[in-house]
Amino acid sequence: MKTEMENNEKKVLEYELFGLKFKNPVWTASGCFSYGLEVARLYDISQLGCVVIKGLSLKPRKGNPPERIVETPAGMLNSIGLQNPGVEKFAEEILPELKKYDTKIFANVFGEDEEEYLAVAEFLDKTDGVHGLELNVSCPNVKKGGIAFGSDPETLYNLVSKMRKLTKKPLLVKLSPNVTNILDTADACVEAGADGLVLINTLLGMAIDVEKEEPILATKTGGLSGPAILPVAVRMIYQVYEKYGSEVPIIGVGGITTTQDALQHILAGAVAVQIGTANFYDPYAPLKIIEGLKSHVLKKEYEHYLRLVGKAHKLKIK
Amino acid sequence: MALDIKCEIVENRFISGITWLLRLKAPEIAKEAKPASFVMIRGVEDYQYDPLLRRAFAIADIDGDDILIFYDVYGKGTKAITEKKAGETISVLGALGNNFFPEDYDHYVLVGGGIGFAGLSLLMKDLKQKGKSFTAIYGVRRKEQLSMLDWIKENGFENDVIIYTEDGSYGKKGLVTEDLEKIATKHHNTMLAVCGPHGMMKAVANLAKEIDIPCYVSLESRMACGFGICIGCVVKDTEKDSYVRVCYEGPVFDASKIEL
Repeated sequence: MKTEMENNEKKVLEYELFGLKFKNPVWTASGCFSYGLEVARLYDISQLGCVVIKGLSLKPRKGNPPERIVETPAGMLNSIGLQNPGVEKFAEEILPELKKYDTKIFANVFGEDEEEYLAVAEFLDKTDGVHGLELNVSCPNVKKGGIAFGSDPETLYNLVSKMRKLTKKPLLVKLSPNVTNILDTADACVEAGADGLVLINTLLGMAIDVEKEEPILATKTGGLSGPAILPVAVRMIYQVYEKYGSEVPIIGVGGITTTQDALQHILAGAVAVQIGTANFYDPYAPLKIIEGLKSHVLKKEYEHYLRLVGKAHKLKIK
Repeated sequence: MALDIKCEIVENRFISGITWLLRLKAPEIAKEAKPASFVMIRGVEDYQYDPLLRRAFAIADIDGDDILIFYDVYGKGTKAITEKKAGETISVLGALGNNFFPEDYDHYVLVGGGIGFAGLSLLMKDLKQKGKSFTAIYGVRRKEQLSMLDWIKENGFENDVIIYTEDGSYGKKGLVTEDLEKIATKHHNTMLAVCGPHGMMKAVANLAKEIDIPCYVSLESRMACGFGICIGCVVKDTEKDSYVRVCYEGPVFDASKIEL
């Protein structure tokens, strides 16, 4: 009897998306989880719905010089600069270890130009153990690539269309909030055949050292993340869901520390959520949120969490 | 295996200058910690987001189930910790760090500057327990910054530590590098273990290079996570021409292989 109840409890968070079965809608965000193995020393990462690994480029990238991070009110700025070992080294040295965990693995794809983006995607398409791709066109901390591709709808459309032809794996696009209208870039991705949208990447910001009288980060500007950006993410998810409803799956990311925060994303329209900066100050946050969502769904007597997705839209503003 | 634990505060009090002492009941961390191990502490409640990030602190001593931390109060992160009282709990992640001081030298010269001495005190204790030969140097600007003086006396290290103050208000007058060449070349197979302000570490590392003595530095850095996932706390590995994480590939590095 107890086992049956436990099974049902487990099932309230299981879902299928892009032809993949996810244990729960709690993912970890790219750039906030390295390649998973460091966290595997703290807890069993098989408990996660999905791990989105740190951005990969074709060739290794050194990343930006320090200072790379600075704390801000209820948030932080980072300018890591996509330091990574390159996609081949990742596949040879890191993925075999990561694959041992029973979770889904999505790779964050980065390039300085279109050619590199496509080469990384092509490589990962053929890489067993990588279940899906998350296109990074929103990193604000690199001179070339990143946000340059994510802020212009036409450039974005071209890149996503070409990548779509290269891979049958689920293709998500992580959008930048540093745009005037999020629907312009969202539309471009949907038209180009993206399977889903990830909302939002970091907001461009700056912090100044008042003693030294200069910006703290070596690159001057960086990406703002953490609780401070929660309402921005919720608003953008809401906007995109309002237009596309459940037609285009949205993965929510931005400012989630607690179950309540994750629920805001879900109620705005996110079918899954990614936990980012919270991993830094509360390493067990994703696990707490998995448990918290389960309890919330059961307490509210829903048969499944999917009943909550986009539910905040029931009130139409006239 | 590092753990995120709510630790009971046994003691949290002002020492001198801007330094406080925090004693935590942390048996799991105490069991695991090595010299140069550190912890990440969050002084606010889980639902409070400013300050947001944990702060990194060296484990200065282990006393049974307790760990001791000496911390300088600079900003809101450390200020929040001072407001915690004995009997309350505080969120501690540790023990952290993966690379420590080499153990195969015959003589160790420990050079600690300011609060950096708290990054070497556990090494000093460890060396004494193992019966290894060492000399310790503790340098500060002014007498009131000698926040570990009582600890040194209480733990019977008075004769092992040479103290320097820049203004001459206690011990010898001068910088930690004052007699360092003489001290470091006195014994065979010697290494330097250094922790302190950036400029001091650089000066010691340069001297070590000149006199051709191995020098290991225990670094601190702005850290968001402390366990390798943010890639924020890097230092340049000059051999590999790449950035390595202070928290994960460190905190101890061979000074000749990194850009200080």
